[in-house]
Amino acid sequence: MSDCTQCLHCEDDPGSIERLLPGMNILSSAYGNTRGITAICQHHDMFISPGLACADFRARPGLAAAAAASVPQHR
Amino acid sequence: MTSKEVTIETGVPVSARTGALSDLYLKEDWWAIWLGLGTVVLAVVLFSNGNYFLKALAVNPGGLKWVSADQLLAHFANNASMYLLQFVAWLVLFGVSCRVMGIKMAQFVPAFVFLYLLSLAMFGISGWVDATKYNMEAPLLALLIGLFISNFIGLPAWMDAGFRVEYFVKLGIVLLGATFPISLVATAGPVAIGQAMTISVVTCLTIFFVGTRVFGLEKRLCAVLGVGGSVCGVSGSMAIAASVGAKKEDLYTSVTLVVVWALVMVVFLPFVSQALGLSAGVAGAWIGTSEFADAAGFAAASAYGKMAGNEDAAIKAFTLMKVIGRDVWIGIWSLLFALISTMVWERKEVGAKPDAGEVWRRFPKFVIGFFVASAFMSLVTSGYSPEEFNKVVKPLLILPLNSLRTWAFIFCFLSIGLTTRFRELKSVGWKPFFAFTIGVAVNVTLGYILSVHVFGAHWSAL
Repeated sequence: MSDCTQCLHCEDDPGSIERLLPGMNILSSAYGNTRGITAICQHHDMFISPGLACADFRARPGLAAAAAASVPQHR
Repeated sequence: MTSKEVTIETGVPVSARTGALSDLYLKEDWWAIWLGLGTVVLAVVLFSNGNYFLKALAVNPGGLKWVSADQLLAHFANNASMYLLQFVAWLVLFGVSCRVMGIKMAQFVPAFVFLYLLSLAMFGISGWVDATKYNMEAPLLALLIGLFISNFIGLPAWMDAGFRVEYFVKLGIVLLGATFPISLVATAGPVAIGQAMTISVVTCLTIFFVGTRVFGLEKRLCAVLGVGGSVCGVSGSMAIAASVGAKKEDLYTSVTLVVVWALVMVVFLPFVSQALGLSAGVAGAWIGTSEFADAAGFAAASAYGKMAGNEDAAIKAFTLMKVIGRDVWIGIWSLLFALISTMVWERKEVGAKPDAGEVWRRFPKFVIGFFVASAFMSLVTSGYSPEEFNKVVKPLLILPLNSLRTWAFIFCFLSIGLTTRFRELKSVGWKPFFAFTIGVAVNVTLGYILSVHVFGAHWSAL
């Protein structure tokens, strides 16, 4: 079953999170433990603790390609 | 789209990063522990072998008390090789760790070179014999100069890569542990926790209820503002935002309010403490209950400690109150709001499923480094008599570690100013502003009453 971290909309890279939220790095940090696994869902524009994916899930390109490659090819 | 229209199945988080060993090298808390404890152990090993290299490496012009510029220049000329070595050591340690965490070296290195040179200038100015007379203590000076540069001269945003406010303050706190007797943590810690908890709960509830009941604000925004204003600033807000499924805009609002009020209080609290004639320990405790962010709070406590001539007491009281009394509970708050979000508020709305693992996952791990450094150094120095301690241990082991901690803090204070670009902060409506501000007023007032009138004798004795 897919989860948010495999979704195209989920941004969990600390550098990107700091860029998406100007001013966050002034008195906090996305590289610290207090962030836990918090990510930004860019589709819903909200902070999330990644869990099971929602109806708007879209696989990241790399994952989608890997999933397609794993499907047996019948001639 | 409103949050009510979104339904995300919030099952058990399955991120590969959950509790992963990769945190040990991908999180700055752990790097602060590795670098801080590594430095402390190295210092003890060198000291035990009669090697005073670390004392030379911890060179700092802050305590010079120079009268003429020639004296300052002569100091730099005489110690040029040690400053160069010190710079290389900081650059390598911070550079390697930041690279591992994913920060680009092409951005980090030039930014850090700039930061180091500016820090040197701040120490140089604050080492002037009359600096204290004109309130030119290094923490406030660094903050104000940083703010001036970022807002009136301007630096490219990519330089933020080298201005790692939180990383520097966390390293400073671990190094602080080495000069912090573990017995003091044991005796003063419970009072700090009790006082900080009381104020945190009252302030959080004030912001939440004033926001929702008086101003009719959305409860998720109020939860984010409440914890931000009472526990741990932006870090606290971020944890709660994820727990209750708050909008990015809600956190952005919190960032603005936390930064603005934190900066106001960095300047305001030391001067009010001075006007009220508070002892350094009492003021440190008051600042510890009033400031939202560690970095800003250390700047205020350090500045007042220097004004009062007892920086040590102010820093110790602040650390007990803020780091031990407030920061370590962030995971509990996160779990609590996740429970409220999913069990009391509408279940269909977005929010994280309550997960006890959050308490450990969000625990600020650098605090572990603080405790270990404190216990280790207390053990190492326990075999010395008070006379030996003051004559040998203090100048050759404790003071060099103190100096390195001061370096980490000055990097932090400058970085606060250099990363604060007021034009980038979100403009917030008057309702969130007043809800938060009323909370700040309650926080500061209650903090004053408890620090000065209820526990004043306790904090004065530090």
